[in-house]
Amino acid sequence: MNYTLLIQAHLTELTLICTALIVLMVDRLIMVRCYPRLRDPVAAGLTVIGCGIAMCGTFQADEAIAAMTAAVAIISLGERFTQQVGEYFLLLLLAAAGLIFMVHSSDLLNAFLGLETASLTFYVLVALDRRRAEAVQAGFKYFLYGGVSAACLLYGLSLIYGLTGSLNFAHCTKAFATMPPSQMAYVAAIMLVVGFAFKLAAAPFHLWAPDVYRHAATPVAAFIASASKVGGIYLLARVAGAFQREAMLPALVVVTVLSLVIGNLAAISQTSLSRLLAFSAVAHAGYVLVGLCIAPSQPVPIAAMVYYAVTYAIATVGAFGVVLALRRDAGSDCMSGLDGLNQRSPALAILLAVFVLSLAGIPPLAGFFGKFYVFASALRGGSSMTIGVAAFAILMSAVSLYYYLQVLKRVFVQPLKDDNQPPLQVSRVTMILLTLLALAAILAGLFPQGLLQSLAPQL
Amino acid sequence: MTLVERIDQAPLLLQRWAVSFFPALLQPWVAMLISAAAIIGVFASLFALSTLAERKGLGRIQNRPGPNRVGPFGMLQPLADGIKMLIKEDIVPLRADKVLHFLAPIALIVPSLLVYSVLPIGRNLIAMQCQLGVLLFFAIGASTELSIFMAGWGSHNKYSLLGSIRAIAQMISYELPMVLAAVTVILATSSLDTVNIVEAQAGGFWAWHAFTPWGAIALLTFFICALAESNRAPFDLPEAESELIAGHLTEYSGFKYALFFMAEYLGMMAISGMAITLFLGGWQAPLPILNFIPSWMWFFGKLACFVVLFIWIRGTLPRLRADQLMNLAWKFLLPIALLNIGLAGLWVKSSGWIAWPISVILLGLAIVGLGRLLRGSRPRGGKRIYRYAD
Amino acid sequence: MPSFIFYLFALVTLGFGLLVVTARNPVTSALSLASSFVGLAALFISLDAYFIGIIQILVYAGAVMVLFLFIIMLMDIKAEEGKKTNNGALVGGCLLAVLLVLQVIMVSGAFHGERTVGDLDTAAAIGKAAGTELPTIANDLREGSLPDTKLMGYALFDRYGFHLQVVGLLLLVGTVGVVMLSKRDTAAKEAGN
Repeated sequence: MNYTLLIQAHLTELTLICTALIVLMVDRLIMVRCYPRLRDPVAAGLTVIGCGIAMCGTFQADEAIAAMTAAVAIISLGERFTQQVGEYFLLLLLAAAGLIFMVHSSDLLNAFLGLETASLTFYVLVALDRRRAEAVQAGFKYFLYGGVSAACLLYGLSLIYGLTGSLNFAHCTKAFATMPPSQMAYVAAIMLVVGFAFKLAAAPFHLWAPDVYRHAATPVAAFIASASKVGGIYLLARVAGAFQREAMLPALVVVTVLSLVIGNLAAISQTSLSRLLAFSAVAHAGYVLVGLCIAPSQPVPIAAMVYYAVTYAIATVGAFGVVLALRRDAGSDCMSGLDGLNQRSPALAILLAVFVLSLAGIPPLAGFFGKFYVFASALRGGSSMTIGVAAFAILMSAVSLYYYLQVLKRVFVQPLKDDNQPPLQVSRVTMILLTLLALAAILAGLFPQGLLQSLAPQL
Repeated sequence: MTLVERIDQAPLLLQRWAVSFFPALLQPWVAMLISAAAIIGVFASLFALSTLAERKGLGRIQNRPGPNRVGPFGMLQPLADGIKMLIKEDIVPLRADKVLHFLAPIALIVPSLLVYSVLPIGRNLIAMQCQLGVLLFFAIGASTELSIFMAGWGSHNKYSLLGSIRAIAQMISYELPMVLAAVTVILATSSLDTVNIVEAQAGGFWAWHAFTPWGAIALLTFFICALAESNRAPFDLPEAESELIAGHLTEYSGFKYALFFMAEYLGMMAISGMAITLFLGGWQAPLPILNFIPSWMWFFGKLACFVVLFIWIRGTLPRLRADQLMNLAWKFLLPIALLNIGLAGLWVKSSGWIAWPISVILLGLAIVGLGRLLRGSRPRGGKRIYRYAD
Repeated sequence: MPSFIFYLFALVTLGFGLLVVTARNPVTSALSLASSFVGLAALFISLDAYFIGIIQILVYAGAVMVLFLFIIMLMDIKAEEGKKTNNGALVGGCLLAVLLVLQVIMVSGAFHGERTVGDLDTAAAIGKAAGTELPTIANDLREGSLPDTKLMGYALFDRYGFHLQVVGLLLLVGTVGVVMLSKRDTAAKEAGN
């Protein structure tokens, strides 16, 4: 083993891990005793600095994850769901490190370990707010589903190992290229798709998502919705690239179509913004999986899928920032709380509009180009089935407009129920962050080509 | 073969002689049976002897004569005890889990005897030479926890359950530093085979692992853990009679109780045997001149020293409190054992006198520092207040 | 005779495995699981995989089962009385078992190579590559015994050394998580009052 090479390859993760340990030590050894009031800002500040260092380099999936972590650290400021501040930021950073391990790994075993590190952190983070029984319940549910999905994934990986004799991506690609698809490959494909569908909250394995999004502390939900999606989609795209896609296609098509239908239709009837975001996440998992429902001869549009995931993550973190403001104001994130938001806080209303329109995929914003690239790659030279899936996804994104516009209708059209309601207070830091995210969503939409090229993996 | 060698190998020759009476097909099986019977016979009688020694020794320490009625100087006391145990009524509580209650002593005595199969009692005297002898020893030893659970749970008695919880918690905690202490030897000899480990210590007492800095500390760690693993004083909390009557033994009587009693002594001797094998040269003589004394005599002599040490400690040290017990294992022995593994690695790699000062300094610092930490830790909830029951 | 021993331990493993699922009493289930592990360990040892066999006892029967039993003791789990069997779960479980058996048949049908030879080759290659650094493996090979512990150590700490360290990260997360979730939170206490 050459340690210098290893350290170079995994510098980002090492930065994050070191930051995590520093945050914990500073918090436990200095802040708790001497400056208990400053614990939050110092821990969050250190986290952001660590993520900033980790983000040096070309903007790729790993840097995107670090950026999301920094954003989540900022919106965690002032949230009082746990006393264990240092440990919270440690877990956040370790989850990011796990996700980046997964992105950087050159073999399936390491990718799985990174994925499990991140998942384990998520279970803990969701259940962290022990004052609320729902949070614990959501965490437990997530843990059970996650455990089963990990078992499925591991089983799939073991079958891949059995088929190729190696867990290395490059070796697997080579071995599968010379091999006709066997029954074992089909079983492995099903297991892999099931495992990843769980992690990505794709239907019919999405049942944990609404609970987790609703009941976990808002920053945690934002983190799970953003960073883990980027990592998960990157890894899935790479695994699919290394695997036989003839074998994977049937299972993928089923999961994609179901996600599109269930996500979009269930989102329509939601009354809470976070649950709406959860079902929209299911739908978005469907959209991005369209990128894998392509003719097996075509290369996997990995850059397009990661572009989609990153833009989606930006918009989701932003939307969760608004959820956070609502929760702090009204104690819940009911859709009715959005009524007349335009009058109470015009800036927040405009920001929310940017995020929601980006999620809906309205042209000048980033979300549109994400969908465009993914669908375009599916339509390019595909068989009738893949074209059908893409067409269905386009149809479904039209349906999704309905509920996204419902949100905006409440914000801009619906009058305030009670004229005496005070203007919505949002902390300055959160506001700056949300503005930055909105700018990112707009810029990524205006100059999509640059981001897309940057995200293309250099393997 | 000289006479000295003949005496040294006498048990093996006897076995071969006995086996030769059987047809070739049965010979390996008979050989196995003879080994097993020899282990049971020898160590069961050693058990009887050590109970007598314990009662006599404790008596002397407490300034009383100890058993002196049965036979000359009370020598036949174990026999009398055995007869008493056999003819006593076997009581099974009404609501006990009958199967578990019955199986527990059997499930305890089998592994207690089984571990002797990998102990080299003398030159070529081992029931089963196995590549992974040390690991097998610990694996079998770990399964005694299950039988203690069976006893505690099967008795359907609060005291039994609490006692078995304590016993198992204690055994798990002390198993860790014990195995880590043994790892140093495995590191140094790069073998898990007990026979190889003993042979690596040939040539005199200076070649024994106990006479290296890491070996001395490992032996000490191992010995403390051995005390705790065999539930002996000062770690006899699971059977703390003032709190728990007799722990998991509360609902046992007659011969089942005797089996538990026997398992405790067998475990004590087995773990001492392992300590001898790992650190004190096994059956090797301390000086090459003394090789004329049969190898198995050396093993049993060292074993006797250990048993006396066990008894002496029981007679002199007071019992630990539960939190002290746990702190000692996790906050003192475990870090020391981990550091010790590193030092053993250093010793193997440097193989010179440089390792001595480094080891002594590091170990000294660690022991002093951790010791201070241990003394500083007090049980939660401030000062303990003792109240009479009201 | 060896085949007789194989069938005996296979029977032990399967029989106790069945008891794990069917027993009503959690203690019976747990102890049956331990017995099943012992049978499995014996099967491993009969395949000359001494290390795996002994680790099976040390880790599963020794450590994992004891933790199970600890939970049973501390939570005082009672036997389930008169609970109806969940038919859906029963059918699903049977289906899964059948699928697994089918798969094993498929795999063993597709498997032709002699693995032992390959492993010996690997061991020889390792011994050769290690040269002076790991002479013991080479020596063992010259003696003709397959040093499975050393091979395992080599694979774990050299070939998969990096993965092992990532596992360390996973364990760190687990440890911190457990401490966080089980530590008494003053805020939680206030909310409870």
